[in-house]
Amino acid sequence: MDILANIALGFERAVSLDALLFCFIGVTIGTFVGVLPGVGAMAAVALCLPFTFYLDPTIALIMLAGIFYGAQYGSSTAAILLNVPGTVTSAVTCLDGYPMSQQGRAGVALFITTIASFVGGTIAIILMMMFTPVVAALALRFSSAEYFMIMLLGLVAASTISPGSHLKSLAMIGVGLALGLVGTDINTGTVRFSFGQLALSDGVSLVAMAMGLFGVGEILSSIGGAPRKPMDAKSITLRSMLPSRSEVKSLINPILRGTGIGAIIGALPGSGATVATFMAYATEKRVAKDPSRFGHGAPEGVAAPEAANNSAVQAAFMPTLSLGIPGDALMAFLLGAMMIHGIVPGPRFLVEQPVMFWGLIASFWIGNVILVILNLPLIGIWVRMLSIPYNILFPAMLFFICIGVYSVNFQVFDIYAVIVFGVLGFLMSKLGYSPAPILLGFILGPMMEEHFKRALLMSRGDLAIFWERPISAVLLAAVVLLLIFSVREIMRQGRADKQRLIEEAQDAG
Amino acid sequence: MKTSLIAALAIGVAAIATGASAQDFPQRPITLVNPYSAGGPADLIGRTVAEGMSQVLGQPVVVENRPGAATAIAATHVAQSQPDGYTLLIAGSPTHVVTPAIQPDANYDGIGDFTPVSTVALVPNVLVVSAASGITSVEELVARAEESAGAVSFASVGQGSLPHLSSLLFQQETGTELTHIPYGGAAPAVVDILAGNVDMGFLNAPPMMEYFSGGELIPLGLAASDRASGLPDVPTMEELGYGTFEMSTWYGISAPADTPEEVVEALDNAIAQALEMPEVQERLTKQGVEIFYKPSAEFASYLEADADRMLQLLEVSGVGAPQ
Amino acid sequence: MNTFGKTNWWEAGTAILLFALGAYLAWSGFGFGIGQLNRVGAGFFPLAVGVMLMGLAVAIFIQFRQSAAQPRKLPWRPIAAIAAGLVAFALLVTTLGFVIATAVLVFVTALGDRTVHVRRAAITAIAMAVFGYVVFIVLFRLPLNPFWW
Repeated sequence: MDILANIALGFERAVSLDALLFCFIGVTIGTFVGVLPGVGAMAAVALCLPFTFYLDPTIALIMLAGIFYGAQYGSSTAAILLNVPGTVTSAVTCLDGYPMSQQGRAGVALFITTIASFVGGTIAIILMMMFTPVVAALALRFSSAEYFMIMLLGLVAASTISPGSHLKSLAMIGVGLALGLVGTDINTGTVRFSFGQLALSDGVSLVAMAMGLFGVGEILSSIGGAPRKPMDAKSITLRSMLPSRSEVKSLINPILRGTGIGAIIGALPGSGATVATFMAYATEKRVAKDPSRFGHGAPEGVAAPEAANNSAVQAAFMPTLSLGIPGDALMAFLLGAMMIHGIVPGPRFLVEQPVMFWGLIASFWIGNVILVILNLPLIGIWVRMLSIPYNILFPAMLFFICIGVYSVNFQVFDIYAVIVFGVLGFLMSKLGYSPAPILLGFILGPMMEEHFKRALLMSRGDLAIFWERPISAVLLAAVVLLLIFSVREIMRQGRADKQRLIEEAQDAG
Repeated sequence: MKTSLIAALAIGVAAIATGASAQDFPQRPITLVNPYSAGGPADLIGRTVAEGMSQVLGQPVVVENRPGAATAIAATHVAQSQPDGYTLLIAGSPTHVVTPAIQPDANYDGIGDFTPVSTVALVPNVLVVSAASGITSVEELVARAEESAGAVSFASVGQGSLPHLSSLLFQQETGTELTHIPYGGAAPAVVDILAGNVDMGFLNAPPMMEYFSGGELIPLGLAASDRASGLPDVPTMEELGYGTFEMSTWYGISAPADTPEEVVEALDNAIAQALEMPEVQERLTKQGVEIFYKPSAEFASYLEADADRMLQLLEVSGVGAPQ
Repeated sequence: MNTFGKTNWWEAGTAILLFALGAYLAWSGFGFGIGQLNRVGAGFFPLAVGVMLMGLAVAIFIQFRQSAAQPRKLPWRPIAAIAAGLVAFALLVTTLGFVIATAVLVFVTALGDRTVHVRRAAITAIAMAVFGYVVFIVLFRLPLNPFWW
């Protein structure tokens, strides 16, 4: 049993005193920056990098990676309690987490996210142990045609994700795609829609957009609308945090489905955890007996995306470590950190640095255990945050959003972007347009464009590349099926809406 | 006897002089602006040299990442900073030559707005094909490209990037016509070459070393005028008979224009001493980065020659021309 | 009151704005160049997204033109306070330094809420400035000037 021996080797490294200490420091920093709206793992990792310069490379990576996945645990806290995602990946968690919190079930929601995160992370780590070498081979079979198709599938699958009108949801995806067009086109070098702003030549800042739409938009809705009642902190007991037995049972499958989706999307370099959360949520809404509960505090709507998020984050290490291909900016950064420490990830990394590879993976799991131990007692503290008067809380949140957005690029322009997106997000939600699909279009759009064009360059302009390659063909078939399904659903909803409208009007008249 | 006494005196005076300027100049931390995001080769080089420099200067040299707009954001920032030597730029062809030429929103003069301090290091670019392609020499590659226009594709890391310009030069030298497939970064480009989705590319050698030793990728020729110490067996393109490819990714350090001469000298000295340190050399060469030091004056003329080469390639190919 | 049959200008106006955005994208797309299949131009995606948005805008217009939903009045005070606070932060962080910028940001945005007392806002502002200084400058060492000197 090679794997068992390797795992033993890894744990031997990971339970050493220094490894445990820095793992703990990493996940703790991660949890806190995750909780703060706007301040993301990227900023924290970037700021901690110089401190790790003098550490043993394995220890340095254990700590930096800990910040990364620790932030995913923390990020759902603000999403659930304040309807403001801590990082972009927990935007979906707002959809049902915040309604749960409004129903006085914030503790339960936080408990569910912790457990779902742990299960998602753990399963993904086990998959990593078994499949990392295989993923390297598999990733080579994925080319631009496949990437384009899987992203199209993600877009179509999640297109009807938000509560309310499907048509409006689709329009918001369109707006997200439009925003994604801003910046330099890789293929031609043409700078599009930058309006002469150097700061826009790499596109709109994702953090500024997400924090504007979700953070500032929500704050405007809160202080502009009915005053919030501070919560009675005394009502929070351990009992009130625990979900009921039947609830736990009903969440097993959503968590497993979310984990699976997260692992697959995460293992594909470039797709990212945010997309996985959208797909997990959309899947739950599809398979639910009563989809109308979603958006009104359905626990599955919290559990599945959170499991997907953490599973994707762990799985993203597979291509990073085995191929040296970073999945997103953060992975690219960790990869760079490894290279600064003199380690080049790639196919031979596993063979040549077994202690480091397996030590790192073992530390991931230990980190996840620490996160559960750390987060469960914190739930009570976080929930008490709700008893802070909102007129103290929201300026503080705006401060974190500002410093978080600004510290990504040190561009003053990004702060102005937050204002614009904040007002936009507020107006949209008033008119029944949900901001979540904007994020999806914005993230997927540029990748789809890049891969679509590259696939056609590879085939020298022959569209057949999309159905002649077997994996791409299967994905294409799934897209077509889902599209037919979605169109029928939109038509049905449209007719129902019209009917309701007429009835309402007649009642009113 | 007399002459050696004068020489000794001269050295003494020089020592006092540099001692004085070293006392004057860095009185607070120096910021070294990196135009790329943290983690890349520029970061490795910048942080390593910065550490050596702070030991020499006795003041911290802090690397600050200001990525964006193909290095224009960092370059603009440094060009507009006080020319006092406390704000420096990690420089290269993109910051000084290519970006000002092709990025429409970049409003700075890549040559005139800066004082070159010194070059620091270079990363060799190598013409690479996948072992699965069955190609083992540049000749075979050219033969395949000659079969029909656009039959062979090459990877780049964007319009006007060194891999792009190198392949343009390759097309000029061989009279072939290739299909250009741009990528957002080097890692996905390497993977697509590995998988056989793209045929060739002139790419930074360090991230591919593992694939060279494993035999999955074949380095056909080096896009430099001299062989690289990290790849002693790979012949240069010139040795193979394909003209001069002076296309290494070089890194230097630049200050804003009008920085006082003494300050430039002090910085140049500190860089030179830093590059002599064994730990600096070890850290860089371990990653396949070659030490490449040219003092201020030589850097200036190197930059001009570099600009001539790059701008000529850009012009011939029409990259960055309004469409 | 019978609202059916009357045009809801909030809904219709949004649809018209979306249509305009789509038209702008499509028009710009032509400007960037559509290209051919073997050399897709920079304008192809803007055109495709623009056409999609125009289509959706038409559908939304038809569907919601007569919706009864009415948005509430715009909360001008919070919008103005938050915008002013963020603009102040953006202007001050590079000039008077991070600490002052933070205090001003927190104080000004806090005034966006009708229920806040000036004294409470000031105390919150000072507390956040101190907290921000300790956490982001001392601990995290953000490369920002804490003060103007």
